[in-house]
Amino acid sequence: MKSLKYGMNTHIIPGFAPLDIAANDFNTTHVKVNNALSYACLLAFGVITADTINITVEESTAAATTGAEAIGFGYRLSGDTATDTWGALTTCDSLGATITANDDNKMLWIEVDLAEMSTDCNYLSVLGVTGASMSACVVSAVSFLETRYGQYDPVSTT
Amino acid sequence: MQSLRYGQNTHIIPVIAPIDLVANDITTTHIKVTNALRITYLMGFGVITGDTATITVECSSAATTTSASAIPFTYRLTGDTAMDTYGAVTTCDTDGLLITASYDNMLLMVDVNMSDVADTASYVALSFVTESGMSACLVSAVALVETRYGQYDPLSTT
Repeated sequence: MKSLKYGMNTHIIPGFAPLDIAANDFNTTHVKVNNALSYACLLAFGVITADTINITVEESTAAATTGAEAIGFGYRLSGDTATDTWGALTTCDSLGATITANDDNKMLWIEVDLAEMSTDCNYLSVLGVTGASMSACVVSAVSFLETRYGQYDPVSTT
Repeated sequence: MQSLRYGQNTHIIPVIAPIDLVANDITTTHIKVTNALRITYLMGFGVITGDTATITVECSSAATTTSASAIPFTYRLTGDTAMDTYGAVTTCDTDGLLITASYDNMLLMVDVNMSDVADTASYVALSFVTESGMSACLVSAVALVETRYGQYDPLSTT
C-alpha cells in the first residue's frame, strides 16, 4: 500500500491494546506530533454494555495526562463490522463525543487539525471516560501520523 | 490526514470488533477487492495466554470461507503499545504466521499484494485459528484498502 507501506509512509502506532475496560477509563499512548503533518486515531469498540463512554482528545506538554487539556476534533463513526458503512463527518468541541451501547462493534475515526494545538503542546492522546455503570466495554486504538517524509523506521513519537 | 482523510482516500473497514476469542477461531469480514489496489490489515493483540494461533490470508470467489485458498502475504510487527518500534518487513507463505504469547499488546500489519489473488477470486479475508489450550486471546482488526479513487463514501466491499 503506497500510502501506508508497513508504517513507512504513514506512521502506525499501537494506541491501546484490545481490552475490556469495564467501568475504567483509558488514555491512548501519548504521541509526540512535532514531526507530524496530521494526526488520526482509530478506536474500535466491541461489546459495550450498560452505560456510555465519552471520548475526548487531549493535548499536553509532556507524555502524561498531567496538565492535559481537551481540544476539538473531527470524527466519523462506522457501521458495525458487517456493514462497511460510515456516518457523516462531524466536528466536535472539547466536550467530546459520546459512544453508547448502540455503537457495539463500530469504529470511530478521529482526526485532529494540528494547527489547533497550543504552541507549547507537543503531545496528543485520546481519553475515554466510561460511565460508572459500565459492565463491559471492549476497546482498542491505533494512532496514525502523516509524517514529514517516509522512512523504514519512522522518527519516534515517544 | 491527506492519505487517509476520514476513510475517503483510504477505505477503512472494521473487520473484527475487539473481542476475547479465548480458544475460538475467527475469519474477518470478507472484502471484495475488485476495486482495490492493495489491502493492509492492522490486527491488534491484547493479552494472549495459554497457547498459540495461526494467521493466514485467504482468497475466495464469494464472501464465504467455502473453497477459500490461502495466499502469501507480508507483515511487519510493532513493539508493544509503550514502545513505538517496528520489526522487519517479512514475507510469509501460505502456511501463515504463528502468533504466540510474546505478541501481547503488539500490532501486526499484514499487507496483501493483489497480484497474489487468484484470477477467479474477488474476495479476501484474514483467518485466525487458535489452538485448544488458549485461555485468553484479545484481538481486533481493521482493513485499510487503497482504492482506485477517493470519495466521501467509498464503493462497498460487501
